[in-house]
Amino acid sequence: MRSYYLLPHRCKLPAMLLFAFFFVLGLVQLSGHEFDYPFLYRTVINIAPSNLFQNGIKPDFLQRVNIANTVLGVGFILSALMLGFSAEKHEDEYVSGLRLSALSWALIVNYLLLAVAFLLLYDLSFLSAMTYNLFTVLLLFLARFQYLLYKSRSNLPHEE
Amino acid sequence: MKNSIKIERAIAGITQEELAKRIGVSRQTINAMESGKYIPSTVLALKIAQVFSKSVESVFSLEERD
Repeated sequence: MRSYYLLPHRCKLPAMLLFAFFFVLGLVQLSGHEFDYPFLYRTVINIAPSNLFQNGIKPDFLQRVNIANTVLGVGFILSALMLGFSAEKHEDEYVSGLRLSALSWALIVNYLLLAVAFLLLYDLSFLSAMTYNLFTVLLLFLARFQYLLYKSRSNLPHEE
Repeated sequence: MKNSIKIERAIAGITQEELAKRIGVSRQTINAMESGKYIPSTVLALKIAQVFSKSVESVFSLEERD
């Protein structure tokens, strides 16, 4: 059976390294450290600036901002997708099934967590939870998929 | 759905690894099928039956709950 939307297996190692890099930097950023270096200030295109609908004011489509968040967010998302959707060494229909199962598990758990956040968190705490929630679905998917792969390998009986 | 892959394998004298190679899947897949944790696609079931020179129905059969 053909598996769709998969990168070749050789992408797996670079994906792991990139993911580890962005994951660690992301944690550093979330722990309160600000990456505030002059080279990070760049002119970007903002397609929805805050003054977009103010009469008589020309919207600031071009803005100079710190792109640390942009780089970390895009890097994390792309490396996580690359990691989760690179073919395994022995990619077959069973592995595809595990990947899909991990994906549906992650989606359910992620939205249950979000529902709990809606119930228990308000104001700024809720906004922080929403920010985390953007990335938890990918993290849960990767963790669950690796766990299922590990479990299927560790159940293998020894044979001559 | 249950299957007799393990028995057929023993009769044919081939390991999980060998069967996996012949039908182009991983050993984990063969193990998962033998322990009833994975139901293969029709394509894979046909390939397995072909290896043992048997019909699909003699290797795979439905259970009460199916």
